[in-house]
Amino acid sequence: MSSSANEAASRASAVSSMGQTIPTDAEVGHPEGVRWGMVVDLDRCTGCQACVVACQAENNIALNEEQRVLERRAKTWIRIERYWEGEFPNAKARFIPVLCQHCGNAPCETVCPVWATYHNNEGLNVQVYNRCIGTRFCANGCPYSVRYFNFWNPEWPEPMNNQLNPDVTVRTKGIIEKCTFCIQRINRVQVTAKTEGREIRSGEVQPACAQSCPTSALVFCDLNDPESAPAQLAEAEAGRSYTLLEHFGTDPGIIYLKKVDPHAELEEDSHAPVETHA
Amino acid sequence: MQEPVVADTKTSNRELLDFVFAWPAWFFAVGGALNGLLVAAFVVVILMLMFGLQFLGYSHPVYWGFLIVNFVFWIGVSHAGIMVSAILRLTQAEWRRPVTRAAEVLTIFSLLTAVQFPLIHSGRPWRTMYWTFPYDWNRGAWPNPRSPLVWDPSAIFTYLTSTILFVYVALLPDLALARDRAPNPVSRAIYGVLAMGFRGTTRQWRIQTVAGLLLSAIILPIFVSVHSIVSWDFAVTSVPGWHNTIFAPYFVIGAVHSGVSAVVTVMIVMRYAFGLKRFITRDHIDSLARLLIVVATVWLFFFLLDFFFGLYGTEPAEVDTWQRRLVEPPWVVIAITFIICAYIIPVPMWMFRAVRRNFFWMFVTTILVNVGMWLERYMVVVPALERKSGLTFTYGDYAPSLSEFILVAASFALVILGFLTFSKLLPIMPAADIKEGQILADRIRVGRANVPAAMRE
Amino acid sequence: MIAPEAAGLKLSLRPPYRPQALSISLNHAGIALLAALGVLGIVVYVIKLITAWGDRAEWAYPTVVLMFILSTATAAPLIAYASRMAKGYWALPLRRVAALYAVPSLLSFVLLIPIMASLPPLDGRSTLWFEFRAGAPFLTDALALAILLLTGMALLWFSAVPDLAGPPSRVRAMGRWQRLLYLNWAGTARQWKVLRAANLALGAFYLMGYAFVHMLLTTDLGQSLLPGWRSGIFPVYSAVTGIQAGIAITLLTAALMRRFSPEAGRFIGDEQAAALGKILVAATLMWFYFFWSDFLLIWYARLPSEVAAMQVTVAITYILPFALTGVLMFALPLALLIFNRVRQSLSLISGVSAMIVVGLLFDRIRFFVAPMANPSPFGHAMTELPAPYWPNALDVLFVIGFIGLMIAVFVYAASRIPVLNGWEMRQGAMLRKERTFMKTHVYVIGKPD
Repeated sequence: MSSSANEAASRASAVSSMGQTIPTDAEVGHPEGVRWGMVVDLDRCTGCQACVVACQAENNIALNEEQRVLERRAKTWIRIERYWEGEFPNAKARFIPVLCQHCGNAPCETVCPVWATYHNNEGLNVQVYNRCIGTRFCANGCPYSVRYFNFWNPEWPEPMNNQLNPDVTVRTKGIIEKCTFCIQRINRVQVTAKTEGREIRSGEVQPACAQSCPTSALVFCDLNDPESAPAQLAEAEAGRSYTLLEHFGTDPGIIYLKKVDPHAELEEDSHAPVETHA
Repeated sequence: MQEPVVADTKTSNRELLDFVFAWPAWFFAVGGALNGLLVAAFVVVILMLMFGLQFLGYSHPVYWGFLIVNFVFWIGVSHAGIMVSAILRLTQAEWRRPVTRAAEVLTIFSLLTAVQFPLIHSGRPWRTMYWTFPYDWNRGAWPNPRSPLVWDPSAIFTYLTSTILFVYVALLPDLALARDRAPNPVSRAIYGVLAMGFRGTTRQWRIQTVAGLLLSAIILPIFVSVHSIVSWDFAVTSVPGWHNTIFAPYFVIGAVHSGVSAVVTVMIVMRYAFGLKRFITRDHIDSLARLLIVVATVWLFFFLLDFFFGLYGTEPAEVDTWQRRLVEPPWVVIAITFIICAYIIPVPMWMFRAVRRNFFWMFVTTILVNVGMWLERYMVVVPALERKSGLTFTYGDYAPSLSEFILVAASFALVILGFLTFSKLLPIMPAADIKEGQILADRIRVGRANVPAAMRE
Repeated sequence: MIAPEAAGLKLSLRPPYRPQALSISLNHAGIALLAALGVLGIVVYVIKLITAWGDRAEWAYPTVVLMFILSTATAAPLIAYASRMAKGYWALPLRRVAALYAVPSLLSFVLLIPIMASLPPLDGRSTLWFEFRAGAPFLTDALALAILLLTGMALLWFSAVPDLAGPPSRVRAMGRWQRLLYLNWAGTARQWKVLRAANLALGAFYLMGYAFVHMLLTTDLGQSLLPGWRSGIFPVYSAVTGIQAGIAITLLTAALMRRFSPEAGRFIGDEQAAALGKILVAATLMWFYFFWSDFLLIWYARLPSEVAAMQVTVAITYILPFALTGVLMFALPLALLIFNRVRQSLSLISGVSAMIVVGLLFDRIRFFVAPMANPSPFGHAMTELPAPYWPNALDVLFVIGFIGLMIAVFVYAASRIPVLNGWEMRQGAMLRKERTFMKTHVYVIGKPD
């Protein structure tokens, strides 16, 4: 069973006994209040899609064959969105990796009728596959369109089935799946740290996408830890930082840093698709 | 002008109950054809259960389509019954009498059909108990009360329950009548049990009347809540094109528009199919058509409000959605068809008395209204998903598949079949109510004119 | 009480062609009080005109009064026209009372001009006029309101002419223009037919105009001045609560008339209270429905710009008027109106009505003061919540004086035009008769076309 299901079980047991209050972060063992997040530096992103492939391998995502992509049913927990800027021949390709933003104020969570998606106490937006019944309301509510539906049971031809990650559930047909910030890796690091009797070190947790990014455009971090390098980066680059679709008020856990283009004309709204209403 | 039905009690009894005890050949032919459609739909549903939803036209990020549209449509049609019965009963409109039962039965069967759709449309229908009923005692995992999808079943099942009660209470005297006139002992026994010993004593009549009035009053808030909640399935999200505060009243009035039109259609069919020429007259459809003019105009106003206030904020995503809805092909065709069918053709036609009192034209226009209203729901639901946010990279596309067409067609078959079965087993015309109307009818002489009148307590 | 039917038939016209003794009789103190209020209203209006022309915040409370008039006086005639369209016989004695409110609603136009003159330009803020600029919003709104008010006056006049005209010989003896004003009324069958058709058609037009004007004014004076406030239901909310208050003010007037005009009071009784009371319950529920449809969606979707606007009108800045609105327009009235005893007694229901009318004033305060007093109406969203703008002494005097003026104008109109519509009541009495059925007495109501 996936670790997210364990999350659900532990939470459920806390709720089930009547009269008992839901334990706070401190009681569960996160006294400092972790909020996992990511800093995405678009100035470093080359659009190489390494993160996409890494995610595919790590999280047992079904194969995206050509047919699937054509019918827009390919699943990519992280995707590189490419936008063209300017007119040919002066067109420039702009890349932006979009994955689940793990919103603090997630529109997907409120609308799920069965609590299949909820916010855990580490700032993660968690999907409980066992509870999901596939109404797909969450996917509609998500402004970033990062939730994917399983139209069929995934299949891997021999010998590709041998590379499945044993830590991650293979999702059945009829449910929604999405980026988990590699929660299995987070859990493993937490267990290791606990057995060694120490705190989790800054930068110790690495989701597959961040790990595989050749230019370190994706940096995973605890947003509540002011000491972590990415948090400091976001702080230092405050002039470039923004969150995606800010006007939806979703409080995303992913901070984007704007591209620095030395040749760009001094126009504020050059990033049309990710423009926010100031 | 609203002339009362003229027939003595014996004729009324015979003609109103005629169909219950007769077996015309067309009944089997129509029933067989409808069942054929249902079988096709059944096959589709089995395939969906076995192999997932891959047969439907959904793709990323358009995850709701025809089936949800159809759900909204049938919930909308179900609003006719209560609109016609409860409101007209409370306002003592005399012409409601032959209309009520058909409208209520239409409500029941369209509701029953509507609730199928969210279920088969979910990814794992066998697990929907989580959603509609909090059964998972041991793990303490409950449905999420914040989700409109939990409000939905609550409202719909409340509505269904109260509508069935409403119909049953009104049905009691007719069941007693059927019991007394049943041709064989078996059906006599069945009607006898169903009639719960109704003998027509003063006390029974009083209780029956009071119960009917109370249920009418109680049902009205439920009726408003149901479609409001259905509209909130869309409007509570922040999806541009869905998120508009006008949605609740807009959906409710749209539901009444399509529902009352459906009632007119059904009544005209009944008039010919069941030989009810004496009881369903031009006056009735005339009155319904006048009601429809008002309803349709209010609905148009709300639609325009939705449109204006959609564009009002000049959010790029919202503007894209409306552009998709109204301008881009293929939606431009749908948009034009929709507004022509739902308003531009029918309402000006209804302005003419000759049209309002013509069965053929009323049949055509009310069918058109429902074509238009179906497309309206389609326009509300899908384009907003195709243009969901400012991220143009994920702009999607939706094209319904054959399976979805079959399921939608089967939903019509299911409602018609349910209606036919009901009319075969139980009196579809409220005989007691009609006879009451005949007793209460009176005339007043004013000068040379002789005006039809009715008694009020 | 005399049965209205019998009395209706006896209702006769005496020179100067008014139903006998059907004007409102006030004593001198009452007249003096009304006159004082009316003069106060005019004086304060003139002071505002001189001191505050073009200062938008200064016109915030006058906007409240404008929307108050639009939601009470302009809404009340709808009862007359809607009941005529739906053949509601119970409303017969109330139709003229309700229609007479078309006269004080003329005052809204006087307010509209300076308010419109104080509005900022449309560019740079959300507006329902989009790119359309030919006279918008000033000329367009004024035109729409003027048409609505003229329709109301025309309807009032058309439905009053048969009462005012007197015998055909009197009309024939009039001058040319006066005769035209009296529609050449001779009571021929054709004239009656035209009159009825005109009443129905104009009534329908008035209803649509009412909704349309609410849509224009609530956006131009409300939503478009408060960035982020984007609510498609608000025009409907405004119109529907206006109808609620219109019913309330009609019931209130009816109760006062029974008190101050004994002759008219004979015709207005608890039957009207009971029938209109049911509609008032529905309208009160509607208040909640429309408020909730608005509130829920904005609160649920959590778009920061919209939530900020809601914090102004509901949650933070104007929470006090909002709470008063909720109690006075919904909670208390509903709690009282569910009792048959309250609904079926004109005096009790008029108390509830007074509550609703006061609640409506607070409702309009919470919605229209913030936008009018908002110093920065441009952009898509507010950067910070504006501070509440409470009335100064002049504003309080303005609200009191202008509403007083409205009442004074109504009373004056009611003393010139009969407050009971004699012809319709006589017609209603002809179509209604009492009969014995089995062992009980029943009314038989005739329904010609």
